[in-house]
Amino acid sequence: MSTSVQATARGRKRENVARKRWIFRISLVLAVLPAFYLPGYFDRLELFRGAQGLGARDLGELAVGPWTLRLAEWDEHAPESEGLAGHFKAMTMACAGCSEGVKAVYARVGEPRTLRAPGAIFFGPEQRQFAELHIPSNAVPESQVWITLVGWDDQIHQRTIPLSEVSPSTVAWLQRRKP
Amino acid sequence: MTTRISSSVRWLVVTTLASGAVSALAHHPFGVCKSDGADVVCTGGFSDGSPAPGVALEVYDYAHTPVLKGKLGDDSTLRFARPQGPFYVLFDVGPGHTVEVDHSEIR
Repeated sequence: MSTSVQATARGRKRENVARKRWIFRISLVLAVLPAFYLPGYFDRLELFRGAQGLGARDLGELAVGPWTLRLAEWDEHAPESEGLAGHFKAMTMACAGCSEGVKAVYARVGEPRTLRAPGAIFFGPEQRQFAELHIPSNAVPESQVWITLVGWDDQIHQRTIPLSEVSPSTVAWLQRRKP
Repeated sequence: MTTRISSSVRWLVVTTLASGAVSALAHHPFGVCKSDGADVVCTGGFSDGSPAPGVALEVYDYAHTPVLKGKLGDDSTLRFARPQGPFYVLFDVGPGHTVEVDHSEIR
């Protein structure tokens, strides 16, 4: 074998080793990167498991008619866009003993025009029910959230809470959205 | 090689199914109404892209008197003559799944 052929073979071998080293380094970075997201991931798991309570921000107890609900903001992020359907904010609610006397609980930003449309319905087990609160395009930071509770006796109970108490992150988002 | 391809296909199927499951979790109803001459054309659907044929559409005046009670057609739309005075359109997909469109939003 001539010297030039040996030199070319050595050069190729060196290139291969260099390429493998780069692949190893990139693989190492890709393997380590997810570790930075682990704290957030475990936080989220705890939230779903209920270890952080009803939601990220517990609003405490709220009397609606003869019933007492506990409300929480599921996360403290800005409302999420759902395309043409608009923006939504996840809320959670617990009502001990409601399963016997309460048919449904609804939440709406602004006063319901009609009881046909009292807002988003809370669904799930009584320990933690979810509702996707619609944030209408005409919502303002001073808006009120209307909670409508319908009993199995068809009695309607309503009360309001300022949106600023329900979700400061939504109010901050509305303020940013102002023209 | 066959093993590698089948493994890739398996992952593709799993990823597709998983992403489908995420979109199935949240699908909100929407209603859009537009003015078309003397008529109003309303279209309903869901945020995951699915249509809403047969969904109840009702039009009320501000005194909550029904002006029109209809259903979205096979193309998820309904056309009706624009009522006189202020009104709102109510899409009723079911309890807790309603959409309102005020006449001031219909242009």
